[in-house]
Amino acid sequence: MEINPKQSASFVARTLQNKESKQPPAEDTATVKAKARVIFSFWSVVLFLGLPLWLWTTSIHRANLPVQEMLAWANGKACEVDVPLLFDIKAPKLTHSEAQDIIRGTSHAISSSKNFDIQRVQWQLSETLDGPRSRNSEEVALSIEFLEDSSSSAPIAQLLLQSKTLLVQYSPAMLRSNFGVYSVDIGKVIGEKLDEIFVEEQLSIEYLLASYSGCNKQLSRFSSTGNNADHFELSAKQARRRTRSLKYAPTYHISISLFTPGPVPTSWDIEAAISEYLLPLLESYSISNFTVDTQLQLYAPFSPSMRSPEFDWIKQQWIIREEDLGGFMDTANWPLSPNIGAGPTLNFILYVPDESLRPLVINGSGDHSWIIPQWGGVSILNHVGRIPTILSKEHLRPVLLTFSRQLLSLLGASDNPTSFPQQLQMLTRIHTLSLILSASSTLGSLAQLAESLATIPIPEEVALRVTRALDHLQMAQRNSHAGRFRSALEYARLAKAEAEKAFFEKDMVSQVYFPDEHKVAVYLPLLGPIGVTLLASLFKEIKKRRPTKSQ
Amino acid sequence: MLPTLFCFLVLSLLTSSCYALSDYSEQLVLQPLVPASVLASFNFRSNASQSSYNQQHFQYFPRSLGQILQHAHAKELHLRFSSGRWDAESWGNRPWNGTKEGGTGVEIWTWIDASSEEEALMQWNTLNNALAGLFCASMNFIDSTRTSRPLSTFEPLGNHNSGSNLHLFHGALTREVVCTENLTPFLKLLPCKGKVGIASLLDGHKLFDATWQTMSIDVQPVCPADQSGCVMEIEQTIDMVLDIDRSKRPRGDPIPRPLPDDRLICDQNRQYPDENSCYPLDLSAAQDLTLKDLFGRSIQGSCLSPADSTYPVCVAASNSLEVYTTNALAEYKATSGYLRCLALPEKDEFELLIPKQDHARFLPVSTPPIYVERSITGRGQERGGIRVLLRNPSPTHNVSFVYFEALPWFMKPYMHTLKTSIPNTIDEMYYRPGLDRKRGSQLELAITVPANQILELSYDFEKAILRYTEYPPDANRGRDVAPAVIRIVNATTNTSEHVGVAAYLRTTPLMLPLPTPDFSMPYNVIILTSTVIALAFGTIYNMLIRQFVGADEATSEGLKGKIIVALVSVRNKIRDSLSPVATTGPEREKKNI
Repeated sequence: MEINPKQSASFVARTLQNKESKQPPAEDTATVKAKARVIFSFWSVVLFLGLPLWLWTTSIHRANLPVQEMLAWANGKACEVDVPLLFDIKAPKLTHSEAQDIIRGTSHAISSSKNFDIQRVQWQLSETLDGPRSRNSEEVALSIEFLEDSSSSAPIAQLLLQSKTLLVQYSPAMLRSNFGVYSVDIGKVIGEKLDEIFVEEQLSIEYLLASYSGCNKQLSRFSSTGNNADHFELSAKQARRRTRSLKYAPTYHISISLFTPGPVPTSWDIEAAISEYLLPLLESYSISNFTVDTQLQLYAPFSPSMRSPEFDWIKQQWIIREEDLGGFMDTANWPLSPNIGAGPTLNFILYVPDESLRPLVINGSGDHSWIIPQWGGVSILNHVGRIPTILSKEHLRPVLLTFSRQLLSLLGASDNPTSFPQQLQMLTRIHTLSLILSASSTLGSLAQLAESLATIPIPEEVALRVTRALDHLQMAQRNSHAGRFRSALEYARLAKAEAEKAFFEKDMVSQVYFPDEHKVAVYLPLLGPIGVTLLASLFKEIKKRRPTKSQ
Repeated sequence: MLPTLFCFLVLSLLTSSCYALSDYSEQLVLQPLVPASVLASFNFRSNASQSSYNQQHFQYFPRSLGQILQHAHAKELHLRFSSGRWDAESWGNRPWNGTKEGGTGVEIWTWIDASSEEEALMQWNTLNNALAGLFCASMNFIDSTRTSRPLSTFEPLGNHNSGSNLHLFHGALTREVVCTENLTPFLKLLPCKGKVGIASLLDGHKLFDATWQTMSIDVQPVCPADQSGCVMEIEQTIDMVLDIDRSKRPRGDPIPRPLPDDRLICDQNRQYPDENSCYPLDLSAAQDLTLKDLFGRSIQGSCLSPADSTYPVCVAASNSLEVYTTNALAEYKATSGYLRCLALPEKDEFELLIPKQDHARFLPVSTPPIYVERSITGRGQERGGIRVLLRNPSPTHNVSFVYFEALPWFMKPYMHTLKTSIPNTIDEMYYRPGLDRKRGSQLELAITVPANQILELSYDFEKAILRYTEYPPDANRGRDVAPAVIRIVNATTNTSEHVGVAAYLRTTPLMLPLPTPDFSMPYNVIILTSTVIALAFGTIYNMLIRQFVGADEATSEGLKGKIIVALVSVRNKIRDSLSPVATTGPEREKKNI
């Protein structure tokens, strides 16, 4: 029998239709139930054993961080740290009430100046003629001593260079002032002097707070509102000082090197020179320790990339352009590696130019020394005549004095230093504040990092360090508030160190990234075939049940 | 025979003339070798008084190295960078008796002052990390598996305080390729930085083109006999054997080419079949040489030496050897007749020419106290053996030495298979077995080889299977095994030259082929096992939940039915177009389903 293809197709369709009539035998309910139980038990194994096991084996350990507290420090709590000033008054010849009057007068004088807005001022009377002697454990910012001098016509306030003492000379006549207002003159004089002494510190603190993003205080002098030229200059000066000075460290390494392009001098009397000109300074800088090492490097010409100095016929000297100073040091060949061990290294370079290139000075200023911010200082020794083979202590004296100045500047001391102990006090307060701010900002960044990256592991170690850092911050704040700045500085340093260690914990970055292709390659061969079978059976089972329910 | 004459000469010269005078001295000894090589031996010594060293006031002692040593409490340091092989058969005894030599790659040994073992180990790691940075070498990879603690192979050379608690550590990196980046920091340690003096000859291109070269740094405290005025001494040496032919090739065209015909010099003593043939004379056998030929430059003045009291450049050959110089200030001839030294001008260039002359005027080739060959025997991926041949060339004297070998942990020696071809030659033995992934095994043997005999030392070992991540890049190359160190205790007891002079020699490193896996294996395993599991699972699971029915009872509604209908019609069309005679519909249907 012959049929055409079209007929054949329709025939097949018909036969298939016909087949519908022939139903498979119905399954008994026991089998259906058993099958449902099979599917259910497979799925329960997957859901209650497989899934938790998978989650447990692939989970990342994330320790609990006190995120709220960290963010609180970063966003404002750090700005509330105050660094009060305590003035101590020693007036053995004044009565208690007279001294109180002077304090009132001075307070009035300094409150009219804007400078002391940012720092709380406290007074104490440690010595008066009749009054009670009060003595705080707090550190005294400045002690004001009254000296009776009947010959003087006007009160004189004078800061002693070797101690943090303000000497006030007065005559008893000034105390018994007319118009019923006592001691206005003395108060005014002291107030002006205090203003002059502490303006630098106030500016630094204001600048610190203004440049910290977490503080949203509207600070008068560095905020964007006060943008006249005067303010701009102030701000630039502070910025320069900040960028130049190193961060506080308990130990600094000082490395003094002599470089010369020729074979002389072969030796220098640096040990004696250091002990005479540099050590006294280092010893009195009591908030940090120093180690000093020296080296002498022959045949070390300056960098070949630098333009060679030009001779100035008028002044008869060789001139380096200021813009070339950056290339002066041959960093590739001069062995100026930082010291091994903790703490930053400050490099001081004494360069003895070749005889044919002397005197060598910087264009414009005519100076022969300069500072490299946060790194060190360079000084050129323009010795007249032939260089001796051994540089004596006298030759090195001006150089070491230059280095001392540069060192203070690199450590953050102000440009016009008043008295050294007072400077040190000021640095302690400023360093404390800046360390607290920096530790807080690190903690804030860590908190943000932990929140934004859900896949990075956070070891317990980090949580521990963060807790410790927060404790130290708390202690630093408390000590600072109480005026104990030395311990505040120590706590702030510890806080900073802990915060940094927590942030740079190396276990946090390891295994952050598994590419998705990698995961697919590992999971798919097993989960693909099994998953499809399991899902298909599940859908079928659900489908089978639905119509029975609707019926 | 003039055994170790070279070293003796140099030592005597250094101690007599220059060393005592100044805090810095330098010495270059050129020794022409047969057939056409030159041994150039550079030595630089600087001193720093112990007090200035402790207070970190550095003058000639390099600050960078001094600070590292103080930080790690290393009291004595020996550091070696070497490459190439010393051909003892034709060149004789080693320069400095092998004391300034290291195994191929980087070798370091040091004495660290520490109160406890753990502390010492920590300092050792610190030291290696710091030196790695200073010398641009991978010394930070010297971990516990590459560290050994030999007992009798090394002795401290410096004068140490009796109270200090010294710990010896030895490490070797055989695979490290020594190159220019190691020479540059080496030169930076010198007071004159390779700009003047004999160091101005040192150039990476020539140094690392040498047949054999070794750079060494030794730091040790040295005290005079009365224990006052101790100094910290740093001695840097570079020894290299330069092939004259190779050195003379112009830098721009280093490929050797045959000479053009007209410049060929034929051997006239031979008979030629026709005019076109030529047996060229081996010109390299006797060649003139200048410093510029050898090193690519001349010496630029003298470094820190007051005019004519020092003689930094020496030629170790018979005094009858003709040597021409420019600008030499003075000449000093040793009484032994085999050494002459020259004083350098203060600023001018110095050039030296040794014209081509008879080999009889060279220093006679000395005989080393022992010849060593070490090799791996056996085949297969699992086991192997080590065989060391120790030949005593002396016809009359026994030679005693300490043989030291540090094996990597994946090489596990079977000590019961240790055999010597001559019985009773091992006097003493110290063996520390290795621990997997923690430390390698260490073997020290005190051996005496009788006169004029060859001792064969052999043992078997098993190779461990490494983990997937433990293979280095290029795993099929194999792993390097550090050279064995041999310390000769008494070479020839009768000759006075050897008394008190330690002599060392090192074998060449070994290449250990290890079984390497297929590195894509983990993925293959994952895919294969997953597929098997998925197959088994699918079968069982389907058996459990499916309903099995007859073929004609299967429902074909939905997509499946439509697809079957479409497929059948397509097939029929094709079949119909191919064959004019078609079977009947019902029959076809039966066949299909």
